[in-house]
Amino acid sequence: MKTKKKLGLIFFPAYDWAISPTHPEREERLLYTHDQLMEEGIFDLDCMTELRPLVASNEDIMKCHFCFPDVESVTTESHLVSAGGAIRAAKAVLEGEVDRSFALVRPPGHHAMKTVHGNRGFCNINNEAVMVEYIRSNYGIKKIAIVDTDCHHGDGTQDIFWNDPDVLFISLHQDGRTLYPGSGHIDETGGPGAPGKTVNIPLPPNTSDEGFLYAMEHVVMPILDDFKPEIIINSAGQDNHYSDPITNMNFSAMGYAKLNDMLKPHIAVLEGGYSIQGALPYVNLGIILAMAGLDYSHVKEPGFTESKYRQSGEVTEYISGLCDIIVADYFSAKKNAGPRKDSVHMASRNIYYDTDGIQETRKEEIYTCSKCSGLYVIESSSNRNSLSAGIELPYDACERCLQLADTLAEKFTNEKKFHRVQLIDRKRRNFKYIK
Amino acid sequence: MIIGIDVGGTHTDAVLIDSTGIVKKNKTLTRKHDLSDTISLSLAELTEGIDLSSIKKINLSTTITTNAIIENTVEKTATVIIPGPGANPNNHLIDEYFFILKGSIDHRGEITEQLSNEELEKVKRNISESGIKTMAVVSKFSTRNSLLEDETAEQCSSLCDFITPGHITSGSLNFPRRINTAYYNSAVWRAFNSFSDSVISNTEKLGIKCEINILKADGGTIPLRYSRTRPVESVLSGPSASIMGIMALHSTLKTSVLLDIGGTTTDISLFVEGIPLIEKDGAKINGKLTSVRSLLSRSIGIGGDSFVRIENGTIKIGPERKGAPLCLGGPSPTVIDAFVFLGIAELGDKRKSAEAIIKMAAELGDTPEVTAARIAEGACEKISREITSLIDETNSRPLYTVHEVIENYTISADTVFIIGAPAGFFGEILKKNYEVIIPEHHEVANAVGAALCKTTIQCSLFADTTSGYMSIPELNIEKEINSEYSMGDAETDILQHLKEHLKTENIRINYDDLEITERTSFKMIKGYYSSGYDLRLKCQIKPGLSRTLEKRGAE
Ligand SMILES: [Zn+2]
Ligand SMILES: [Zn+2]
Repeated sequence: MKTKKKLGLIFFPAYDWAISPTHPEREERLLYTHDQLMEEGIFDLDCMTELRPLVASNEDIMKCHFCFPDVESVTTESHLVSAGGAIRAAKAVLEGEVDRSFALVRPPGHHAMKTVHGNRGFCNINNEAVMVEYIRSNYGIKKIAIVDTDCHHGDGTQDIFWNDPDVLFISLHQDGRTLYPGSGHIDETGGPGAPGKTVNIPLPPNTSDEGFLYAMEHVVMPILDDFKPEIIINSAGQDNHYSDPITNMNFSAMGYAKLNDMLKPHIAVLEGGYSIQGALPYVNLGIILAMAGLDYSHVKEPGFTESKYRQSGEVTEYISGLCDIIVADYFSAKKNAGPRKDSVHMASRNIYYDTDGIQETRKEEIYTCSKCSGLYVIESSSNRNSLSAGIELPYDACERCLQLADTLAEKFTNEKKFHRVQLIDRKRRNFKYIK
Repeated sequence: MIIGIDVGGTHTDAVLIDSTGIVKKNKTLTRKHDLSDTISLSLAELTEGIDLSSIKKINLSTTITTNAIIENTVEKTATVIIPGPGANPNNHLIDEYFFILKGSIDHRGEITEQLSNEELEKVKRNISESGIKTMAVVSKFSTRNSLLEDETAEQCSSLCDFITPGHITSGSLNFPRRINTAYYNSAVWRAFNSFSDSVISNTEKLGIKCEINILKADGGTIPLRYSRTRPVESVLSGPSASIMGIMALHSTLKTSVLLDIGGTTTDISLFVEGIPLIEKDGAKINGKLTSVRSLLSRSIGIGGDSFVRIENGTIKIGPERKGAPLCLGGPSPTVIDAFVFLGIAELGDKRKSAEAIIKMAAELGDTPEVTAARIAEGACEKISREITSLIDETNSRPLYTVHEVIENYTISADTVFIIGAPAGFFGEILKKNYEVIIPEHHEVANAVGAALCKTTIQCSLFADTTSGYMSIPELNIEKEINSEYSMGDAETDILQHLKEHLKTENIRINYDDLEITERTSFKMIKGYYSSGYDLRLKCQIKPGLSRTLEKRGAE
């Protein structure tokens, strides 16, 4: 017996926005989805509330990203509306207007990283991450889980919450050895401040409903049960569909519906999915019905039969072995974590922005702290921006970390080598460019 | 001369209008069970001493279909649906004779599953055994391809007197609404046609020979003859008569609210920049959502005769009406009685109103003055709240482009037009919060609106140059197109087909009034190359007036 839920829908197809005329992320991406939802009378249902997206403010973006040289230069109005759609979805749930919500917005966001110099993987602004900071700063929610069901590894979201112990990030995706962006291996399990809080489930090509739902049941659900998030967010990419033109998976609309029925996310935010005729209309319908607790058993793509897209025995066996390892890793990371120690971890990486052809070099210092979630400092430059810096303080920042941040802020401002310096001080709610 | 008649729940209003304005008006009691007789009586009185040959047309707003639906006296009708995949098709159950057929059309109009002959035969047997004579057949995405509907209708045509295929009811996408609309269209078909027959013969008996038009919920008319196959379009014409009436009586509406206050209910509608708002997807009839194009109107159970009593120590007003006000010999206290006590209304036997107010005041431990004021203000507050909620609802309508969201267009309204018998009384209170305007002739605004409405019609075109076809569902037109088919071709097509249709149906309109109201073109991409265009157009004659009466009203 299903219980009907009040579902808020933020449907924002951005019919007047595209990356470029022939880019998959273009005006009509949600056109047939819109047609299907209209024809099904979805917006007329008593349990559905259609909500207008808000427009995210610069501060909303700056609570989450380091944008160089500034927010205006790396966003367009459509990004602010898309992120604003996600914010509206969160607001509707947290203020009790609806039980759950689904932001069908574009452009997508899950490849947008902590630092933003432009567009990568069709994304500029990470809608879910902006939404998470909106939730944490406005509603006193602490623990949040993001489950990314896009076919591509949610490398942006992973990067943003890499060192955040209060955000559990789980990504189910096509194995990075076979698809963009190439990351998301099982050994990427979180930064020094948040060991085990990143979970990657890289599935082999041709994984079908069986494999996805197996991973849900044997990895995602047990880990969620253990983490006990207050809010569950689904990064609802739909490019695992068997008809998607840029991926190699065999997931179906019914599979997506079942996945959501199992996950029961409070909020879902649309990510990728470029089979605009064969997949999106049915997958979105399936997700909406499942989230609203309605019957989705009649949702089926024309011509779909389970046998046609069934995964091989080899795939089944591989996934089962993979799931065992991932679950074991999560629980052993938890067991071995121990109390946080005061230390500094340095790392550096190169980030390539495929859409805009930008090459970014980033150095980071992660200060783990025995008294709080720790301080995070980055230095970043690219072929668009000269060297800039960012300092981030957590919600629970301790006195010592606050002082350290202030010292660094002053130092960076005076140092000639930095072009821009951005501060994300969540503790004292101070979000600004100090240089 | 033009005659406008609005058959309302209690009264039937009629006006005779010539080039100088209102020549005659009358109000008669509606005989609920003989509407065509009511119309005859009203016509006879109105045309007494008038040269009948000077009457050019009669525009009629009638409750015949609305009543049949609300009172559930509609004919037993079979509903056959062809849902294909999607939401549970059993959700759309509307009546006991409900059949679900295999077969499927996708969002681009491609048939992805054919009908099953075996199933169809079973449905035919069922219909024939049950003795049902009217039917509705609706397939999902029939506005993109009507073939499955047409095939089913043809197969059943020998069994039924009348069949409504879903695609003629609307070109918009909304399968559940099309089902409801097609069902009601068939279910009221016989009653509406027998009503039409008697209206025509009664008018002829009176010696009037002129065109007769039926008012629709969208504030336009269609010839009675044409409405015979589209009877559902005649529902909810009452509010649209009032809305069009106020436009005729007052040309500077700007952004404002219209209140039509009656005995039992108040209808609320909105004008934005002088244009009445329409329901986004269609009218709600008896709780069921339809695709019948309709002006936006909300009805609340507050009127002059709303029953007033004390429940658990507080004043309760409406929504029921027990009868006329006490002062007019009615059975129980009403809002009007409070107005009478306050001296706002001069009506009937004041003492009877006072008696009741004093008694209620004693029960509440208040003075009668305070009690009466509370009743009057309470009723007005309910109306104000509804106005606010209607404006909020309008302001939260979804937006689909970046441009619109950034613009964030919202409306607010300070001016309230009030029509209806108790307009003046409510106006006294409402003017504390709004600028209140009560236009002259407001008591027959609905009949004036009916008289001056223009013929309206609309249709939509969908073209997909990749699959090479085009359709205008409402006009039953589908044809193949080549890959060069452009927006210009689509515009020419929709206008030409609509004009041809109007000609065939002998509907005379000024072709200059036809306008294309929606034009969208999406370039479809396969891989990284353009594969064709997805074109969508809507064409209509906007609801409007043949002229206004304001000059005369100001004289
Ligand atoms: Zn993707
Ligand atoms: Zn600290």
